[in-house]
Amino acid sequence: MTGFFAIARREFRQYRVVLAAAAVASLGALAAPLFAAGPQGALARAVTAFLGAVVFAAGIAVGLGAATLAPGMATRRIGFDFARPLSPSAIWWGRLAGAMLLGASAALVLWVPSSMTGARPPWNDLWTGPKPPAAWPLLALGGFAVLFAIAHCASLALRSRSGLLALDAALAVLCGYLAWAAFSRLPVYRAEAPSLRIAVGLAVAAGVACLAAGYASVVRGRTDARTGHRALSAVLWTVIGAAVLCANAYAAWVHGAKPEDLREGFWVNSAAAGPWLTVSGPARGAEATFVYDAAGGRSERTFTPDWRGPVLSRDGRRAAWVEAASHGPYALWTWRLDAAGEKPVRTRILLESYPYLFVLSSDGTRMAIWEDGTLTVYDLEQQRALASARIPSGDRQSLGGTFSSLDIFRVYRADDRSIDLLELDVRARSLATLGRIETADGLRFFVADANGDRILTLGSRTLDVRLFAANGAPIATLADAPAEIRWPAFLPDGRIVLSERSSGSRRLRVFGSDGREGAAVPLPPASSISLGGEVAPGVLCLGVADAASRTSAWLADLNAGSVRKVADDLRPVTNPRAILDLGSEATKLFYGPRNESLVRFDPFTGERRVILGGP
Amino acid sequence: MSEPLRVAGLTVRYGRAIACRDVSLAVAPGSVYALLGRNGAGKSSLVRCLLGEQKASSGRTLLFGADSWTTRAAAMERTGVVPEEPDAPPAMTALDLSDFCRRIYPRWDAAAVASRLERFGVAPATPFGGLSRGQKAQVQLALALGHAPELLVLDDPTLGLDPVARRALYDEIVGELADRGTTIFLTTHDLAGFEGIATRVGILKDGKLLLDEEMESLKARFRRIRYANRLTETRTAFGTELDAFEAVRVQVRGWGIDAIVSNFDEAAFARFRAIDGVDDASAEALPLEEIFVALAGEDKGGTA
Amino acid sequence: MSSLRIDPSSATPIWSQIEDGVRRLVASGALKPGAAVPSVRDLAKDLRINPATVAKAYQRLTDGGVLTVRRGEGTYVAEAPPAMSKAERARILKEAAGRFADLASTLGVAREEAEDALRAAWKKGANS
Repeated sequence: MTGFFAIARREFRQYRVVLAAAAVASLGALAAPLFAAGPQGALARAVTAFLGAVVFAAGIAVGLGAATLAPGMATRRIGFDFARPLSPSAIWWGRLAGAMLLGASAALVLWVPSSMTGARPPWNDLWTGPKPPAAWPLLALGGFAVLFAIAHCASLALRSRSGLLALDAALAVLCGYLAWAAFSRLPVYRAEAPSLRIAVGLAVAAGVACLAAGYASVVRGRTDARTGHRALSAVLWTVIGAAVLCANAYAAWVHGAKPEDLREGFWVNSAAAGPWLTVSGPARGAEATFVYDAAGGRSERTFTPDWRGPVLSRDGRRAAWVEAASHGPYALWTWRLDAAGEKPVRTRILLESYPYLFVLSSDGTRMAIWEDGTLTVYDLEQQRALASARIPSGDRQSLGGTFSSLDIFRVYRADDRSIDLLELDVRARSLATLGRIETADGLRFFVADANGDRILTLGSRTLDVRLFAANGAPIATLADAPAEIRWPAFLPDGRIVLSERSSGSRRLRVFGSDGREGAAVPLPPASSISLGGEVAPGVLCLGVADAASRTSAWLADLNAGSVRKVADDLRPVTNPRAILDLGSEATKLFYGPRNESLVRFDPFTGERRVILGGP
Repeated sequence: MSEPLRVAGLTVRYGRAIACRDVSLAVAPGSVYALLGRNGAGKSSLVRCLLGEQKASSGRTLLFGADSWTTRAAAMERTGVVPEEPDAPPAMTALDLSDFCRRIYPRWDAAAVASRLERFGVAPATPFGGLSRGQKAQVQLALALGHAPELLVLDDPTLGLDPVARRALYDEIVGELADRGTTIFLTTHDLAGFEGIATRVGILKDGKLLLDEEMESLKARFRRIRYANRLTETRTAFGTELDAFEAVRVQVRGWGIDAIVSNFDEAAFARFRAIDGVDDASAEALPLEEIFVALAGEDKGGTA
Repeated sequence: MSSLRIDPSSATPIWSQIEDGVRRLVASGALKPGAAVPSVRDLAKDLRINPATVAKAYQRLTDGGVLTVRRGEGTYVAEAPPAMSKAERARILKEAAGRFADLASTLGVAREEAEDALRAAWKKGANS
């Protein structure tokens, strides 16, 4: 250790003239307010002092790194240290320590006088983004060491005049390519955590590699630059190569997530009929979305942005989604779910930008895509467009759309005053406006039934629920009395249920498709109620959350007007705009406790099967 | 193994070029070993391996019985090195250097270093880079001796020194030998200068150790024999009478034959002189320089 | 002992040259009994030779009674140095005579002329 300190001290003393230069620069920083008055002056001082400190430290790292060992090795003048009882560790780390001490001193000389007059590190003014962690001085030291090592390695590699430099360049390109490959392997969307892990991992590995390579060049190279270069390259590319390969393996692992890797925090969208569903959640560090067969276990991962995920046809036999192709435009993928052994197919249908809206017909043979102001209906079997029309979106948002029949597609768009009801006739290739619904009072919720023949709106100011026909003609106002909470939904047979809490009591109101009120079912007191599917004729699943947010599953018998609890810790999988077929598999899907599992639960037999996640 | 320095089967290759071929030598404690060789004969490579600066392609170099590549730092505690090229950091003064060494050696005699510098006339506060070549060498010698090493390794120590500095170097070395019995290993071209000091000689030629012998024994068996050859005009005749002496270099001159022989003894010479046709034969001892030139020079076997 | 010269090139080992030289100086009276002789260190420096060599010569001279070592003070000529042994004298003389005879014959000098030169030199040397 004595050698280490002796060398560090020697290096510091040898180059201490740099501190004089730093002192001069420090005066310059202090003088900054002379050129700009007021708060600008204070900022100028802070920025000058801070940047000055950074520049000096970095300059010292690079300058000393390049000059302190490599030139000596190349000209055989480094023998002095090697003819003394100094270990290679002392020779390498001692020099690094001396340089670090010098860099830190120069930075302090520049920063401290200004900070004593009130300057603070101007993080916010220098870059947007997260503030540096509290341990940033340690990171700065680490960065200094890595800069030093890089400068030494580069200097030695260049000065050794060895053909190895060409190999170094080739390996650098190769590793760069492999690093890029790791990143491109990751899902394009919502993989920030793995990306960050890979980036940080590679950066740390590169830093460690440079430091280890520098050390190796001293241990094995000693006074010979060529041998030093060889040792340096061997260590550098071994470490970086290993890191890059690990990064690729990790990225492949993240990419290869399966539904079974979903643990918690996932959410589910089912087809109206059949066992297929889409499930999204964190899997292996990235957000993953799968099209999944809850009965058979088959699955495919789709790489789509968050909420604009795959869509399933109502009959549960076809799935479709849009992915970014590797070179630009977005491609439409389809998958026949009913044929075992079928793989997803990338259709020839390419889109310039991500579609605003895309909807599958009930049987999955046709798709409506609203993209960049144009609504187009495609035939998926033949992979071609059948009809299209210009619908500029402007400042109106889409409220969704549905195939009334294979040849008729209804689409809804709204601004804060009204909803446009539009219809694209595929055979006639024309777009017609069916009607308009005024929403001057504000719109909280909008839902159309499966064919678009009936429309429900929930006003935001008064929570009034209104029923309209396909062309916007009002049919009935289902509820407009003041209420605390109100939520409407369509049942598969066209009836409407309304979950309502007014004057402290909760109830479920049932209406016919013509808007006429039927029975009302009283509901237990709860902080919130979610409406599930119709699991048997007239029997609706409910999720009831108590004051402590514990949800239990209940059945509401609309005919008998009664409710009963069927499970303590389950909550039905619901989607406000989905209308599940009567008694379909989807009506028996529940979230397990704490949203950590997906469970198939038969509320009548009590039979449970954990599909995904679980304890 | 009490030898401070030993080279065992050392081979050093740079790519396809071979700098040292299977060199083996040993330096006994307290002795002075002079390694001679023309430029490019492989001395520098050997010294680099010896000092643990370079790894041998095969074979070993040992300092105090331990491999010098793996135990270099420990060996350097007991070794003083004066390199061919002065390599101390140019910005440091002689005092700084002494202070630096004081921190890294277990024992350091700063007073002795200071008095040596004074004796050499080197200003202790001048940066090393500003000194003359001779002064640099003197500073490096002073630094090499500051920790009273058991072994001193000098690589061409008189290179570029003026006569005064050279004299001072001899004095220091002899002084060290007298005071401490330091073992010394040196490479040199100053054969005359070290002829009296060296106890053992090695000659390196094209990477091979041609000769590794005690100075006394070397001097005893080399002679220059001059005689007038009246045997015959032809070459074969003269070849026979000199055979017993293992001539190394024979030159035919107008006045007779001038031969350097490596296996001289008095009795054989007496017989030689008695040969009819050998006239005016004389034998004289050779300075080391002549022996070296004869052995390491271009092969000139016999001349017609 | 400033007149002591050694020839590193000579075939005679240096220690032998020193030993012979000192004996000659003592025998000729140039070095008086009890006189101080240079230390090993100093002589080695002067002659630019290995001190071990000087030490060996001094050891032989001490063993032979020509020099004595006074502890703490140095090396001195013995009070009663032995005269050079007859055999030693004869050897040295024979060597020198041989060299003289070789030289004379090379010069092509007849024996009488050589003897004359020898007599003249003897006279000169005896007077110094």
